[in-house]
Amino acid sequence: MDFLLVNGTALLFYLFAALAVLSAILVVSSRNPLHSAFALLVSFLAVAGLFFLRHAEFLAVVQIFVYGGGIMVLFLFVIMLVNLHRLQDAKIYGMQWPAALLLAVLFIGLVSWVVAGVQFSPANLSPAALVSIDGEVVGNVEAVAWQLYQQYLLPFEIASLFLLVAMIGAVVLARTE
Amino acid sequence: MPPIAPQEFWLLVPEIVLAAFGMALLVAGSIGRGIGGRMAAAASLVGLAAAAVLVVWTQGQATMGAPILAGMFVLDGFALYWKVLFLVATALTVFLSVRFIEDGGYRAGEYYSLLLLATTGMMLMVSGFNLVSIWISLELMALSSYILVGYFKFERRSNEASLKYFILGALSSGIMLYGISLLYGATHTLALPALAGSLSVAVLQGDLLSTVGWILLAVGLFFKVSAAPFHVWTPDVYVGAPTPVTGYLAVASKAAAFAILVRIFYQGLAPLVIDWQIVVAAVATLSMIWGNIAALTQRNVKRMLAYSSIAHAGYILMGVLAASETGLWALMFYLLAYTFFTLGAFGTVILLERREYAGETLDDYAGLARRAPFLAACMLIFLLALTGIPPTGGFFGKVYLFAAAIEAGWTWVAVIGVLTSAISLYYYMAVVVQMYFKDSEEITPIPMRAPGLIAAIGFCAVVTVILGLLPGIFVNLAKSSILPLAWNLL
Amino acid sequence: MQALWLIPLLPFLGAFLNGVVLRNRASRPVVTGIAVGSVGLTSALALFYVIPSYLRSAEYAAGHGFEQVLWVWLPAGALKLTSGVFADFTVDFAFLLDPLSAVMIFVVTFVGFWIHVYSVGYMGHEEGYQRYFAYLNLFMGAMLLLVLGNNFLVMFIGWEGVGLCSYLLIGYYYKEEFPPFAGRKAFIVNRIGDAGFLMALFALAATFGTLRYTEIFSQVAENPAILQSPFAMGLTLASFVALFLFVGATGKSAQIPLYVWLPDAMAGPTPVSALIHAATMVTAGVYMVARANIVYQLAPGVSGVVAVIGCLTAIFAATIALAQTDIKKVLAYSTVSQLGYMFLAAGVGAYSVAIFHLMTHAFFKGLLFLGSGSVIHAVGGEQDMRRMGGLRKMLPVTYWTFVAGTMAISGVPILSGFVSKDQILAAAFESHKILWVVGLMTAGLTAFYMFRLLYMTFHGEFRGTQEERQHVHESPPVMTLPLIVLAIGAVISGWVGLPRLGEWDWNWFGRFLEPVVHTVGGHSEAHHASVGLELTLMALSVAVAAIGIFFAWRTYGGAQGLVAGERWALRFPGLHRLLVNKYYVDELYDATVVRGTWATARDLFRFDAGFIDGFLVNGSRNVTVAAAYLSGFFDKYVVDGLVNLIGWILQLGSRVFRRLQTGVVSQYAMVIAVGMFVLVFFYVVVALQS
Repeated sequence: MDFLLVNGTALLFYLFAALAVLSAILVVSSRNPLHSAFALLVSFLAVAGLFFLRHAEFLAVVQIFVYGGGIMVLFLFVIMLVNLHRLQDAKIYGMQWPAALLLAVLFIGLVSWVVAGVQFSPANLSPAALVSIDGEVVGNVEAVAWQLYQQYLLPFEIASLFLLVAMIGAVVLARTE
Repeated sequence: MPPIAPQEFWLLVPEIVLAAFGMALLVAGSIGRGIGGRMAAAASLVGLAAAAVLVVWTQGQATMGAPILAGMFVLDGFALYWKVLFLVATALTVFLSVRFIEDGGYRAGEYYSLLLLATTGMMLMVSGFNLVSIWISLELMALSSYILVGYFKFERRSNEASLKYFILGALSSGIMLYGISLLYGATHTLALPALAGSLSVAVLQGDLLSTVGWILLAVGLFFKVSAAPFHVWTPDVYVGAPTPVTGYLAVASKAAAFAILVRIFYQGLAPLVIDWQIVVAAVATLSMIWGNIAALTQRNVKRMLAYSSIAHAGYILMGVLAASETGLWALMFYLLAYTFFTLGAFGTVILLERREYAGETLDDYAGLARRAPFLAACMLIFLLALTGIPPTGGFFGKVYLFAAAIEAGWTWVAVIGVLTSAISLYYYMAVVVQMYFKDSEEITPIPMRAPGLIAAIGFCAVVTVILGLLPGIFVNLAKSSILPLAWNLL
Repeated sequence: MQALWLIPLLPFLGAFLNGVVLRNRASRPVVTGIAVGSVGLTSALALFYVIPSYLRSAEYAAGHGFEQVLWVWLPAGALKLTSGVFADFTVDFAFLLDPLSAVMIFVVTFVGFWIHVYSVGYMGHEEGYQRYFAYLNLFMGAMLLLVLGNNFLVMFIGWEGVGLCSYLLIGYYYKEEFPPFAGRKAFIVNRIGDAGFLMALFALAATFGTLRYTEIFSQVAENPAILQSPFAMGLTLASFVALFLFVGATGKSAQIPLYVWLPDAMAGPTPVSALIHAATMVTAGVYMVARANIVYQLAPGVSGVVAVIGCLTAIFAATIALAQTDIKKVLAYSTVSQLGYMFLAAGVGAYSVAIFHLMTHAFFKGLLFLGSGSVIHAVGGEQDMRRMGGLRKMLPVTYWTFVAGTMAISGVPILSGFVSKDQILAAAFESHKILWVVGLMTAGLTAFYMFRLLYMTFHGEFRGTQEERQHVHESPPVMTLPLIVLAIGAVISGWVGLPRLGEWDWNWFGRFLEPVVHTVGGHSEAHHASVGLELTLMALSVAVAAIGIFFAWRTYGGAQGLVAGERWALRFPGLHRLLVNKYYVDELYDATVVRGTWATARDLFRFDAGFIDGFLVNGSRNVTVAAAYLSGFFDKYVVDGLVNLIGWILQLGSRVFRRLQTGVVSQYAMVIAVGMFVLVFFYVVVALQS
């Protein structure tokens, strides 16, 4: 029990992380689009869990609402409407999958090895840094808002243009003339 | 962190106006049967001109080089130079597009709207002073490009190209974003000057995390400038895209990517100069060799120009490699010249394309000198410039780039550049031979019915020659625009 | 003298008027007036105003050149030199008139003008008359730019410009199969050389921070050690620059191994061959070496290479000329051979003699080409000497002027060719006896093949059909007048530079060039041989020429000339076939580089066969072809192996790259991922090791 109390966060982190990665693998390897969609949902939720662990509650909730809720529903609609089950027979791996697998393993190994060797400074480990603005401790939502509308105001506005272009694209490419 | 003062937004006016024109065109395009092609083109030109005027106006309004909007945005000579260049390149693209869109029978409103929004992305990007704003602007530009590439949605090649570009582009964005996140993890900052500061400490400690981070970031940038081996998307996308879009990608997109590559490498990654020079040298060399050799066997002019664009990425990277003031202005001058002769060459291809995809194979150029002497003469100038033969801007551009590399001690890269550009003569001259020394079965003159397009081609030819005769003016322009800047490297 | 800038401008103006403004709108007289008029004006300006006023000027008296800056071309910019200091690098668009460029503009404008006049008659019936003259004027402008520039960059602009014009003019008869191909061959071979030129240019700029001749040379004269310092590739700077400049020169001036384009360039109209491929453009390499003579003086090793290459080219091309039957091919190989002489002279340090031979050669070889043009014109386009013969009576003016040219090139005493060639041989003798022996042998061969040409063409019986005989006629005065003028030049132009014999120093030409070619160390260029030795050498070369002429007369002089010639051929069938086929070098280059690449380019378009298939099939084909050629005699010409190899690598590379462009997205992603992994891996490993 003591072990859990002391290392609980770390355990949960590994749990959620493993869940996110495994379900992401399922997304691309499953032959049934519905299975893929649900695996994706699990992956989203696992990431939301990771956000919680970092005390980014607002982000975690948004992740669940937007991705786990809205986007997931869209996916399911599309799958049902265009009847994607026919994909069952499609070949989902190219000829080169062994090489790709090898490369992926090597790359992951390399990066993990690098990351394992890094000494992160303590300041980085403290979640409190996220919720303090100008030395004044504020709630998570306020902190995010502060960041978004002060520090990251310009990227935020550019992102809105970006979404507009995405919408135009969808309309332009999908519309029948 | 001081709050953002409202007047800081005044410096964003060029971008805001351009985006507003883009959105207005979008609205105009979706009302009823949509705005006419010529009207839409005219409106875009007005928007571009307004933005250009405002860009020049903003010059006097800011303390040059001081980051604003919470350090996300910077207005300096470097950014102004590129913004004007992007606007000119986009305006030329508009001239190239009018007839093409009309002939294709596609709606014009959205097309020009996307063009303007992509350009907005470029302008925001080159003023970006923080990897977050840079990355999102880059994505704005890229997403617009994906859609433009697939704009001819009833053409199979256009569709295919768009999808390929999208998938590979997403891959490269992912790689880049991962790199940025690793950099953040290693340095706790994404602002370029602060990044340079942290990295100079990290270098001393032999930090591997930031190493992996910047390499992945660089890979994403190399993808955008289509440097080998990250260029693989280029030939297929260039061939499949509607030709004006190809020209836009080859010129404006590439210039924008180079601009931001330089800004990131020279300002953000400056302490790592010795490290990234090795990568840049390798990638430049590979691009020059790969691009030029693969172009040798092409009979499709668009595909040939695609490989030529890869090779040119290699030459231009020499300016980055030099990591010096000379390299910087050489790169800026080259991309200026490159804009004109490359867009001119694509313009010629467009004029020959009678609907859909004719005018692409080498044989379509047979006897062009007799059928359309003006067009052939312009194309000759563009090809000479692409090869780097005087008296064209291409020659001086190359000379400056090679000189910059040699000056910085990278003689062997310059040697490869000189040798491969000797090879490049072979495939460029194949077009000249077709135009001047072969007769076609048809001898009827080619109808010159697209005055705007022809004027644009002629303008490009004239500028290409002027850049070769009086390069000094433009070199001074480039030089003066990098002067007031705090380049960490120089 | 202030009108210097007009000299290149006028021809450019003519080209602009004929080529752009009045294109397809002017009548022939107008075209002629513009083209010949502009060159005539330039010529008159140069000969009667600019050069005389320079000779009277204070600059000339002080041994300096006159520089005229038109505009600042590239503005000043800080350039970090190899020595570490920053220099203000600036290039002007400026001209330099000094003795060397004075000689060059004299040759170019004078010979150029008469060839323009000749062209009026020769090209009179061709379509594309205006295009021809536009290109020809453009060439004149570019050539004058080349020789007048006061820095290497202006020279390079002219250098590229003449290459472009040469390309356009060789491909002038573009409706035929061969000429466009020959034009492209010339351009591409030249570009290989140009790459070398550019490298030398960069090295100079990076070291001296300027490209102006006078600045570079005065810096060197003050401190020769700059050039002796090691630079790159294990060479000193002087050697590096000299070697790469010479690579450029071998391309433009058709020296081994890049000479192959010149014989093919004969596909162009004959006046073009006379102007570009004999008198002016091909000598640009010699001009460049003479211009940069200080660098060569400080690079004795490279100078040796220049001399040896020149010497080898001279004899190699001369032997090929022995067996050619196409009248223009003989002259083309003869040109290659004579250019070899010029490089021999430059290589042994006799720069003024090289330029002297350049000048006399411009007269007599221009004359010979124009004469051959007159012959070809007369017999209705026939170029095969076996179908000529006995034209002496029918073409008297052509014949007598041709005799003058032939005697000049063969080294008949007191004619121009004798005077200049003799000085080259004397200089070679003082440098290295073997160079001299080879040069002497070449002189004998030259006399032989030129008199063979003369006898086969003009003596004996006419060997064409009766109908052809009816059509033979002397050329109109507009063509014969230039022949006469150049013939006078071929006889007397040597007299301005008679060799110095003890006290009698009539070498005005040598003294004139002295300020440009003075030696770095300060001692005079040639320590002159004794009068006795000089006379002995002279007598020897006269004797060798006489032997050559005698054999030509014995073999081809009689009425049955061809039969006797064929007897010789039958006696040495292998050697004869080898010579007729120009040592198969063309075929080798062709089979490997040119055709190989072309075939690949075409094959790849419908590239379905697998990589291995194509590789093996094409490979075995090329190997078979090469083996067949090699099996005879010529395994020793391994030079081609290198060219061969380059062709292979390019072919192979293009196929590999093409193969990688499969169109499959996941494979593209794979390429990107591999590239990414390699970079990251490289850095992590490097970081670990440091």
